[in-house]
Amino acid sequence: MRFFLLFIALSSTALAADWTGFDGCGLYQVKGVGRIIKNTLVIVVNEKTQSEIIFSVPILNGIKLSPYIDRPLEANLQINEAINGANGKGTIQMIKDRLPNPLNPKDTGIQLLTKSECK
Amino acid sequence: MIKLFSVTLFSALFIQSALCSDYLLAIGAGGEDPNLPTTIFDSAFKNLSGYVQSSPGLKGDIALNGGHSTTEGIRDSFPSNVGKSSFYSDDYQRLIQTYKTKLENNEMVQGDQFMIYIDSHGAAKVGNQNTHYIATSGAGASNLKNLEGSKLVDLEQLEVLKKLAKEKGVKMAIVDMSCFSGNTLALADDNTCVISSTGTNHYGYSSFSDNFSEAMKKGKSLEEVFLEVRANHNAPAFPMISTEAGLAMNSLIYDKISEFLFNKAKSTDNLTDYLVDNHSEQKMCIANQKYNSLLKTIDDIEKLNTVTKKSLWGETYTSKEVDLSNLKNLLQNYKKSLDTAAVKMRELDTDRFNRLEYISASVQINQYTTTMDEPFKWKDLINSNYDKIIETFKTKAADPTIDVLTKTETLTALAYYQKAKEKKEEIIKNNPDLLLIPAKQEEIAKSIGDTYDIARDIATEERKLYQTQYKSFQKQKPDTQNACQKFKL
Repeated sequence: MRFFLLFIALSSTALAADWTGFDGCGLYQVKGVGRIIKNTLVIVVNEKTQSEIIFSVPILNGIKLSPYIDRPLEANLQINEAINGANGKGTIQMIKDRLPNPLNPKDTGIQLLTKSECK
Repeated sequence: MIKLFSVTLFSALFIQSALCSDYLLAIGAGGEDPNLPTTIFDSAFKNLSGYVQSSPGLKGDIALNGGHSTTEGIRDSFPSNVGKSSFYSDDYQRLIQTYKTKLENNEMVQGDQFMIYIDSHGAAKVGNQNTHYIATSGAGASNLKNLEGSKLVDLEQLEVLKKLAKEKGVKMAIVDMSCFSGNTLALADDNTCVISSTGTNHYGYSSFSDNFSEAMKKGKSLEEVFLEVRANHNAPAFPMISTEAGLAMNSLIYDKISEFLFNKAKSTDNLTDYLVDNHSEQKMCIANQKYNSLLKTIDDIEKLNTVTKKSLWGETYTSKEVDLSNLKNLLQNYKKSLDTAAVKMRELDTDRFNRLEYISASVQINQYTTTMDEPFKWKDLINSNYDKIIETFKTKAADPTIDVLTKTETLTALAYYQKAKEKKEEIIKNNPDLLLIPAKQEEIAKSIGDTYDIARDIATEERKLYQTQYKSFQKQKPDTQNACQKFKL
């Protein structure tokens, strides 16, 4: 019984913690790199790690992303639907260059700025 | 009665001091080329070994290097009362845990002293860091500013030891001899003395650590050692101390004198970046204000330290206790060079990068019409690889499985990026020098030559100013909570 309770406790803790850093819909600060994947302009966060997330943006919104292909970037991304596995969708509100810090593993990632309802 | 009281008091003080222990945790010599037998930190650690040998009862650990035979020989020369290990990230974590446990378990008690001596390559502060990273062993740093290539640990982790030491009444000192070590002053409080070999934005030089470790003699306070060594340190760095007077000195002059300690030495060029970032009219205006404020501060310090004396014949005359005219001359000359370089950089007209181009494209398929209309900075247009993007959208538009709306948007994007590509080509055709600007900026910075010597001379003259004004601050407001004075070697 004790082991069963321990198992339940550990499992629920693991499930509650979202490894992507996603904490519901809202405006996120996203630090990653611009890429073209499957004919789509995307922002890749935590690239080539187990916590990699690929954010695609609407085609028209992709103009903002186009100068940052293959470059480190920091963007404010409005996310209106939950991240599906390692894939998310968002709209770029602001985007700028990011000075990469290859020494810091926490250099890229996502951070919730303002929470909002999912659509 | 008085005699008895004195004897009792003396005995009590003697017993307390005899019961108190000194701890030293020395770490460093990381980030150096692993193929060499020596490191630039050898001399300082050799001196530190001498200090430990002359300090019976001192306990501690030295985590040094890992791979350089001569340096490891120095580590092994430390007396047997000191634990020895390499300095990898694991060693750093282990030692923090060890001392945390010692403090938590009251192995280190009120009245004890605990010094952490750090001498390794240090990185510039990044992001929201309070302190900064230092290099551990195993890989050499290819870039001395961000220590790229080496393995790093964060000095922020010492916060836990500092807090525990304060709780337990253990006097603490953190002596950080690495580059950009001024950032470590963030760990200082009324119980923890922090000393750095340089400022928050400057490279450090091993001569400071060499001289500091050599000047560490029993009975001296850390403040005494710092002031003694700083006064004679002539490298273009800005050593710092966390006393009230030290913090007041940092506020008074560090920001103003910073750019004059930058220089173009080969491995530690911090001047080119400064010029690239600060050549606009607005930035030069700010730099001029700082420069004028620095000159005024120097004049004020000279005036405050001018005394009126009487000669043997009764005539009165004024005598400067500190003559800073040479410092002013050096600053004036360096400022002229920096201004000339900044003006040349401005002539490159980098503001063109911020000009906007309005591009729009519209496509209609059946009932769907989409329009893309977004201004682009020249910088963004020039940086974009439109060939790659256009190819992507051509492939996507040819995909027979996409719906009409997606196809409309894709074709709009394609038209937009084609126009953007044409605009980019037109801008480059009419402004071919734009692509050469980064190389030209570097060329201009190079034209002022190796400025190490002039920055070093400025630093040497700055020592007089610092020493004089530091003492004035001490006199004006005695620092009763001076952790650096209370920490006795």
